[in-house]
Amino acid sequence: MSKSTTSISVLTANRLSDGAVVFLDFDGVWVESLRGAVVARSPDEARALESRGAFDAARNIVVEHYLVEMHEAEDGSLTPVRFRERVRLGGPSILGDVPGYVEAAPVVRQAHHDVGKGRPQTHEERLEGSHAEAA
Amino acid sequence: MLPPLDGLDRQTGAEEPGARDTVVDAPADARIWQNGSFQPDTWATAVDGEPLPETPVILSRKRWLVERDSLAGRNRLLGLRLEPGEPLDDIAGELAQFSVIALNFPKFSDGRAFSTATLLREKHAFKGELRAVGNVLSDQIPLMRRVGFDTFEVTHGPTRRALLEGRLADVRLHYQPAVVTEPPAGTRPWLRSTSG
Amino acid sequence: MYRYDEFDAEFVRQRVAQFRDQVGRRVKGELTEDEFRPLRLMNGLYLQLHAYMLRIAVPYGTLSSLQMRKLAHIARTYDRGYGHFTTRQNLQFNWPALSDIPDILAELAEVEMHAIQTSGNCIRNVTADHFAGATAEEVADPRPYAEIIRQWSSLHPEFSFLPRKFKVAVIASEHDRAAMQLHDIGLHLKRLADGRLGFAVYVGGGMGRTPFIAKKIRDELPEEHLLSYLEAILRVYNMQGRRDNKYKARIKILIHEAGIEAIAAEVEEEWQRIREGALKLPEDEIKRIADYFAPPQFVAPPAGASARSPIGAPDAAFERWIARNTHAHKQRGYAIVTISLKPIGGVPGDASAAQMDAVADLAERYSFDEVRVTHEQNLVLPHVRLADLRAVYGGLMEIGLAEANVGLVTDIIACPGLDYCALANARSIPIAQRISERLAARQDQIGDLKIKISGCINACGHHHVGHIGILGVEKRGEEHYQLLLGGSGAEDAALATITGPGFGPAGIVDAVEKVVDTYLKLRKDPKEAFLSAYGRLGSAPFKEALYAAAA
Repeated sequence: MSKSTTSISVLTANRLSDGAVVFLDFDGVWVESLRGAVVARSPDEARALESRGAFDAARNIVVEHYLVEMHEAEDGSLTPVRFRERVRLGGPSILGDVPGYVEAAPVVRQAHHDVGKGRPQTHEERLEGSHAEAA
Repeated sequence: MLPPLDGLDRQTGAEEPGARDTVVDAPADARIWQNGSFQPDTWATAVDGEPLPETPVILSRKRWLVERDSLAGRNRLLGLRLEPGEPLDDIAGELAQFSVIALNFPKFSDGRAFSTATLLREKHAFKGELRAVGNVLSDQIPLMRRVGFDTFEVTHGPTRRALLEGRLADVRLHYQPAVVTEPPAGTRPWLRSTSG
Repeated sequence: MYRYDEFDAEFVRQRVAQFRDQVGRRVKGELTEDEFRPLRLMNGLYLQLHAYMLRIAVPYGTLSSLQMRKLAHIARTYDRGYGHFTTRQNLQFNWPALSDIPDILAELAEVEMHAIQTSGNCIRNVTADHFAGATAEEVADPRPYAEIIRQWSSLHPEFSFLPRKFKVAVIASEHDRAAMQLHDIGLHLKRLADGRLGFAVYVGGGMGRTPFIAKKIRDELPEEHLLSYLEAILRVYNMQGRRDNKYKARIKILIHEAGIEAIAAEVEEEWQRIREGALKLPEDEIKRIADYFAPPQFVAPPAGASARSPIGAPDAAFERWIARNTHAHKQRGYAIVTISLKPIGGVPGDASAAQMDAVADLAERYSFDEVRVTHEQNLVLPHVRLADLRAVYGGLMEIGLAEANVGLVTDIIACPGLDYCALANARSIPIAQRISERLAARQDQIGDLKIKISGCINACGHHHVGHIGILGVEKRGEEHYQLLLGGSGAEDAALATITGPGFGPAGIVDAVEKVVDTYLKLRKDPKEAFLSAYGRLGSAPFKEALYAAAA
């Protein structure tokens, strides 16, 4: 595959409907996990990815799209280069200390969730998504 | 390498951008919203470096300063266009010569012309047509009306549709007196309302 | 407190309908994000790092139990079970869905609440002394004037697209508990030379990239001219404030660049033109609003009554809590209670839905149905009978909010920081937690010490006016923290100064401890609080403790 710490990028945005952090996957679907995210390995690919983001923003699916630089480890797992992006990916680091924190939205509001999105991801799943399965 | 662009049904809220721009509209050259309808602009805007046309013409402030002496005493319709931040006080005595003053909103977030309009009406007692031009969006029009704008040059598609369909979703109750006279809404001193 | 009449209720209903329409048009694509952004900001809806954030207005920090219960309900139903109280006396929810916002706003409207103008380039929530109406120190309750300003500034057609946000605070005593001098406009209610009520007016305070302490623009403004004078200031600012650079757009920069005398003269000229116009405050309108804030029906205590007399053996923890968390009330037999939302090692300013409900119960039962939010991210029960203090304390113990640390080193103000905020460079909450845990055992010994932490230069954590201030920055892609000392947001307003090179996440906690140790070593006696000691000693011994040993 590639060198152990190649710098590459993925396309991220916030979903318009609920502001959730999402990444563009290979099927053109915006998902909450890095697993399966489309990866740009050259400036041309990055530009193409960015304009795909602009297109989906104009289609009111997402807002605030941008490319996130990633380190790719030998096993293929991705980690954001910038600390800020690592926090953005993993969710607030202090949720365990927040009084009364409840992870998922109540069932009655599942109707608001978009097609193809399913149950909102847990904090652990989101973090997990940043690492590919161990070989 | 890129994901496919098909499958609009995969996503939600996905309309093609620009799809709605031509559904309901007045003719594109009828850009001035006044008295409940879109009208063609009866005013020309003076172009830098070109002589003034004979028609009713709107001059920039800079052009006015150049032309005002030669226009003195001539019986013709004149308009003035102001950019945000351009001073009023030094031409205050001449404002009565203008039938229309157009205030530009170069970005919709630039709110200086709201104060300019207020001063034109209240301090300088300008009685002519006050026109909002530039980035005029439907959510601002009710506010613009309250500070004294009469007419609006609108090119933004959704705003044109909202005006034509009578769909400005504005708040019709007000906590403060404005430039325009509004009926009181109750007995508290500054409550006002806008009727339909 | 203020009660809506039909007009107020209908206004909020129309605003909810308007925003519902705007959200619908956004989702359909009739509004781009660029066009929608200023509209959603004017309804308090941000897009943050992980989700939207809704900031709900709590006018001058005052809430009824009904309103607090509604906030708890919204936390449970639409969010993730908690809310965050802010440094402008508001409340934030961190996980609302865009499509739920109109319903949330409709629910808030049912209890006379909204999110209008809690964001955006407009006049924001008017804040006030959180002890208003309860402290003997005030010349009169400042909140009626805050309410008058709130109404006048709501959807003001001329001032909805200002160069930048605009913040107003009102106080009425010599003790400044609202950081009045750090606001765009600060108002100090006082008796004028002729004995009538009026204001000293300050402009140009603010924190952020270039902090300034406000300058007095007018020493005596009679109360009837409050709105016309504010209108003159806002008009001058709207027309002349910079619009070329977001970081130079506040009125503090205009004052700094043009000079206070020049701006005061322009304001004065415009004000003279309008002062006798429609905005002159009729005396009966001032009185009508003030009547909403009339004191409750206090009951004078029987002779000899005190907090100690009721049940049980002497309780050291209860005594400590009384000493730290209660303040003298103007009415004999009552006390002002501060509820610390800073449990040791906890997230500053957060409360669960269950805690909010419990506080609502305490307010309803023991504080004439009133609770306040402070700009230091705590809550206040303003009117508690001394005889009820033990019951209140017991109730707070049950919900884990009885830490006796108001004003102590663990009563830390921290912005949400990089854990939540898209603007942040570094996390602030974990730093607050680690400092709290490190110093909790010695907090009484340390005494009054205000630590304020911001995760970026926007200074929502008010770090410029912390006795100890911490600013999170990004250095080589990692979190880094600058340490500042000697600030104050009170009547002795001062900007903290940076000590020197910054520290990493672990290092900043050690650095704060070193500063505290230096203070403990060098103070004259335990009565000399940190800020006084710092004023006397200067920064040199602290810098030496922080940096010299590194050689």
